[in-house]
Amino acid sequence: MAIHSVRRMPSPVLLRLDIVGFGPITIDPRSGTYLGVEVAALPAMPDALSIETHPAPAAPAETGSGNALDGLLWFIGTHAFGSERATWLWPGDRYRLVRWPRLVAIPDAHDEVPVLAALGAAALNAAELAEAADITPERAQRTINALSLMGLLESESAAPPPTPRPPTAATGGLFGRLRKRLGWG
Amino acid sequence: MSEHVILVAGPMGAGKTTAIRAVSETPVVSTEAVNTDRATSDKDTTTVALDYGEIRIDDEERIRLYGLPGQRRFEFMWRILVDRAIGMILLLDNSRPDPLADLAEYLEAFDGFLQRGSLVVGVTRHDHAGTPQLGEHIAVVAQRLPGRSVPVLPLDPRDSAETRLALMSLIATIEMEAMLSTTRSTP
Repeated sequence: MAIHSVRRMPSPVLLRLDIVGFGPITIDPRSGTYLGVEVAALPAMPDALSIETHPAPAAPAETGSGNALDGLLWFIGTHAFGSERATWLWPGDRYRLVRWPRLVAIPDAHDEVPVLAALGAAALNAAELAEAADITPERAQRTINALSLMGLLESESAAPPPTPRPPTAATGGLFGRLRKRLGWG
Repeated sequence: MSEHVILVAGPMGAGKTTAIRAVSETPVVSTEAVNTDRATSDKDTTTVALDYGEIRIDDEERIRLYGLPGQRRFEFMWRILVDRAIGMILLLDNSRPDPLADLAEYLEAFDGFLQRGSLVVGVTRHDHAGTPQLGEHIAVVAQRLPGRSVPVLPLDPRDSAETRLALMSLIATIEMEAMLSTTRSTP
């Protein structure tokens, strides 16, 4: 929740997370980077965590220094709320992907590609996303939580429900066949 | 035989031939000639007709990958293939003088196709040239293709895993847009 709020603050701030037993992480939202503990070393549910904000220096970190923030926010977003809706999301809203994340920063990105593509094609809620991408509703909600934390979704309160068309005869299921052919599942 | 045509487009030197070689299961057929346009790209040779590679899904289905020549004087070759294509990977060399102008130029040149076909934008040499940033590329795409969520990805075309991921993103986008999109006609 704190990260979500800080990313929307008008004045630039750095966010420092201290994860007891693991060390600090400093997030610079302006450059989309963070410094500190690698994502792979983070616990899914830390025992204790403190969060501080600091005024950001005048110049953001140069591109290329620090780790890509997408990977960290994906990790936090998919774990922080379990399979429940993130606290800033409203029931009944549908969400559409306005920008794809850096796929190389997401573990098992090939698993997430059809989920991202579904959210890019239509505004969906978690149940609709689960059906379109053939995943569980819990995973759909975690994905929406993460992408929202990353600032990649826009909510559409009044969006109508999608009316899925059957897959076209020409390409229907090509993604799954290609994925199998490439040995990705 | 079911065939799916994917185009790989972009300015000279953006990595089209390299990307096709990274994912093709068959030896890539390239038609190259000595590059006489050193002002545009400092490479020894450039594609003058097409690059061609393919991925066989099974005996009855294959993905055909066509790399389009980057020089506009070969634009007539683009039109030959575009009618059969279902999607395009557009590669942009971020170290060129004005990659955003390159992007806008290609989106305009393929505007007709992009009204029905799907697109992935791969930004190459992004690590070497941090600007323009990906967000600026995304803004150009959003302006030219409003209402569309186009994957814009940093891409090293020498990396087969990254290039395959871009191809998979394109295929997934094609299928989901056909199934869910309310703003576009079914391809």
